[in-house]
Amino acid sequence: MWKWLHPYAKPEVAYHFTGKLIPWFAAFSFITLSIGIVWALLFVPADYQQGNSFRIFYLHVPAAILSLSVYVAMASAALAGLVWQLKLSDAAAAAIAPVGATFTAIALITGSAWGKPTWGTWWIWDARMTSELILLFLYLGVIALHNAFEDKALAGKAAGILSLVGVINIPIIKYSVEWWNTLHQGSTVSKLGAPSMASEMYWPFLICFIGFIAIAGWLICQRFRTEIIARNSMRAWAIQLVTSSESK
Amino acid sequence: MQFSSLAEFIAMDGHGFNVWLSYGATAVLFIILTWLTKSKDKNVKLHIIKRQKRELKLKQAAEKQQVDLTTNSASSAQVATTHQEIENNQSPTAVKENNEPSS
Repeated sequence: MWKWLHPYAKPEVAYHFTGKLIPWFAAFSFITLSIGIVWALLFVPADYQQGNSFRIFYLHVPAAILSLSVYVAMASAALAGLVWQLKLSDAAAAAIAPVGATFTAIALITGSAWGKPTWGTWWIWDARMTSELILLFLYLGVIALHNAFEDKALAGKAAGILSLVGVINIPIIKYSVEWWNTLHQGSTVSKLGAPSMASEMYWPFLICFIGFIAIAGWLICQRFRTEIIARNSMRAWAIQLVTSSESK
Repeated sequence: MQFSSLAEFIAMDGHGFNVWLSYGATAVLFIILTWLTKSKDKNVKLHIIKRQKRELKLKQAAEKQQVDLTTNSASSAQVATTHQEIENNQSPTAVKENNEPSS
């Protein structure tokens, strides 16, 4: 049943496959983010309570949602690497971590900049923000472990265990606004079917969100290819690929 | 269009600093990540190219010495000195790299 998937576990095939995806992700992210950000900055009406500071929403929420989804993707790759000893899974986990860390940093910075005019404070140690900050540290720990060992199989194992332990933080972040009395508000857009938002504010969000997904896909594919080449640098196909691209 | 002038757009109704801080920080972080991604890719590839060039040079040097050996084999004393030279010129690691199958 899953036989068709098997060739993609071969580094060379995965390298060329992601190479084909990259231009699509890049073009798609460029188009959607251009439309989404121009719409969000210029055409969305100001919020009746928050005024124009509401425009931060279009960066903050996509980055925050993706910081969690990307972590789950990284942990899944790490699990596959630990259980089935797939070398490419470790490469994927190593490629995903810096992208997730960037999204987490964006969510924290934009959240802070949004919190000042809305709540009157840049930072408060409430459950949502604290757990999101821990997520950033988890990402940084995973990145550090991937780079701490010369032996990439060992590095993948150590980083993979940390990623899997860190999964406990994901439901804590997601439900922190329900479990505790946080200053941070509950979810607005992820209520299935009925987002509690005006549609003229919701559509640009959706476009920005898709743009963020595409930019994540683009950067992850790019980093994944680098990881593949670095981990297969003694293989004939990788050497040939690199030396032939240089002579062009 | 929600703004009537550029100044109004930049001021964002008093929230200009926070809005532009958010958009600016996001742009900067994405640019840094893209730059790191590109430079890492370049470094990994450059490393492989350098290693290949080094191996090629060592291989050529070894071949040259081989040729010198065969042409100078008339005198056994000369052969002995050439052997000595090879041992002096090539470090053990260089010999090891040389013996690896190249692509």
